[in-house]
Amino acid sequence: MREGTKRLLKCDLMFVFKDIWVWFLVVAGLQIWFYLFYNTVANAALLISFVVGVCLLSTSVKDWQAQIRMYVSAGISRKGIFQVLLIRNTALLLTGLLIEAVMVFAFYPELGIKFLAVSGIYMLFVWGFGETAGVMVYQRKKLGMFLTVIGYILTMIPCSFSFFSEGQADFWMVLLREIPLTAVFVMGALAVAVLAGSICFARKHMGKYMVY
Amino acid sequence: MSLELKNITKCYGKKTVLDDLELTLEEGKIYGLVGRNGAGKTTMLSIASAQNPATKGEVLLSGETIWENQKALDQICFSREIINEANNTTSALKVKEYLRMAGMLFPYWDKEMADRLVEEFELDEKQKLIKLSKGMQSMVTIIVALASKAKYTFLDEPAAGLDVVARENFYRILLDEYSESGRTFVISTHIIEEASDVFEEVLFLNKGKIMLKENTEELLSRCIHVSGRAEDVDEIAKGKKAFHPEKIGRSKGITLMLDKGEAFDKEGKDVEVSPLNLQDIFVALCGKEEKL
Repeated sequence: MREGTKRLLKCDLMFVFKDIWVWFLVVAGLQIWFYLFYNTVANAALLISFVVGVCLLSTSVKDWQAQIRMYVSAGISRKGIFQVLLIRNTALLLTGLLIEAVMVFAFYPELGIKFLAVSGIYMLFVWGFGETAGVMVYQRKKLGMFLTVIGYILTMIPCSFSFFSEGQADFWMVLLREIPLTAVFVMGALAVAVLAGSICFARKHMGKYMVY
Repeated sequence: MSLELKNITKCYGKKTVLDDLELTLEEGKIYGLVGRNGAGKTTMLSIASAQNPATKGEVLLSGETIWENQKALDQICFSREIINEANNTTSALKVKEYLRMAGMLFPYWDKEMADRLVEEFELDEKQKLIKLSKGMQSMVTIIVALASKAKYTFLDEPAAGLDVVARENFYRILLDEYSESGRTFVISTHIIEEASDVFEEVLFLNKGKIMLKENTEELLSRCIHVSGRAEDVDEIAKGKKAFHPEKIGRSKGITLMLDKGEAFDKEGKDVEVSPLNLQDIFVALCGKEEKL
């Protein structure tokens, strides 16, 4: 890795950790609140998925809103910036899946691979969605902000279902048991296509990015 | 080492902001970039630092294009306004965090200098950028520019919002840094007269082109204002570069730009000759012509 890319990655991670930390606190706070007042807790593995998902969405939008502007202003090449953003999001996704894997294999070993696959698909979708919304925000299109808000809502729905599941029968766990593998594959292919499309879209705009 | 802007044209939609602009910035000079609002100063600086792609033309540093060239970009810093309406992340940062971030991004960052300047400008490092006044935000931009230690450093309206004391401070620090490091600075400003002592060369940007690039002292020495009876002034101005004529009754005033080395001769006419300052010259050259 080039010296400039290393410097940028270090700086970028500083921002991402801040984001992760904030969302982690939000989720932990919700978990405590629900436990104290309703005596229920959400599925922790699913919450990890949510934290990573929402961070992927918020950082992807923020990248285009401010971060890239800042990096370009500091004299970092667009190619270097794009590389770092891809590395960072991939690392975020994989770290999330890794932590989840530990939890899932400990508590739901029979669902392990399926859970991780669906969780990964969810993250890929959110990332792709965030990237497209971010580019539109950069282009100053109203649709960009609209997609961002929709993205947050869609990202939060799976998490909220988890909180309101009755007893130990987590809504998502039941659904996961029922869902056929073919459906998982189809969703996976779709998620990859969405992400690939949005990355190409972002790359095209990154190539001629200008600081207004 | 020199930074060359070759045939730079920049269009925003149908509007041409820079029109086939040619400029070479030599190493070790302080350039003053002067132009009217909308002349294209910020656009020029952003293209010269690869923050903005040119519609046509290229920017070369020592013969190599700077576009997507990390090695070249490491030598250039364009420290610009830190708060803009779309930039929420930056505005949420504290001064300390912003400078730490700059320290990570600029390869030749001088932390000691940044700390010293924070003290000198009496900035509160714990303050959020968004809560700083316009002047204080300018100070942060100045600190980033100076501590970046980039060979080519561009500042866009650094004195905007600064009070007189802070401005004096800034010019002094800039000159100290310049004499120590021999870096090249390009400073765009509207406070022309005050900054003219600092500029080694001035660049007048008008209608998307560099109208004039000259050593400040030389320019001042060859520009004069001649006033007197209209016929006498017209006689003297014949064959010379004359700008900005003003007529009051039967009297007339005009700005003359003599050729290099040319001495002014009143030709026995009863006219008054006075020197001009940089601001007057700029107004004469780039101001709206009076129809006489």
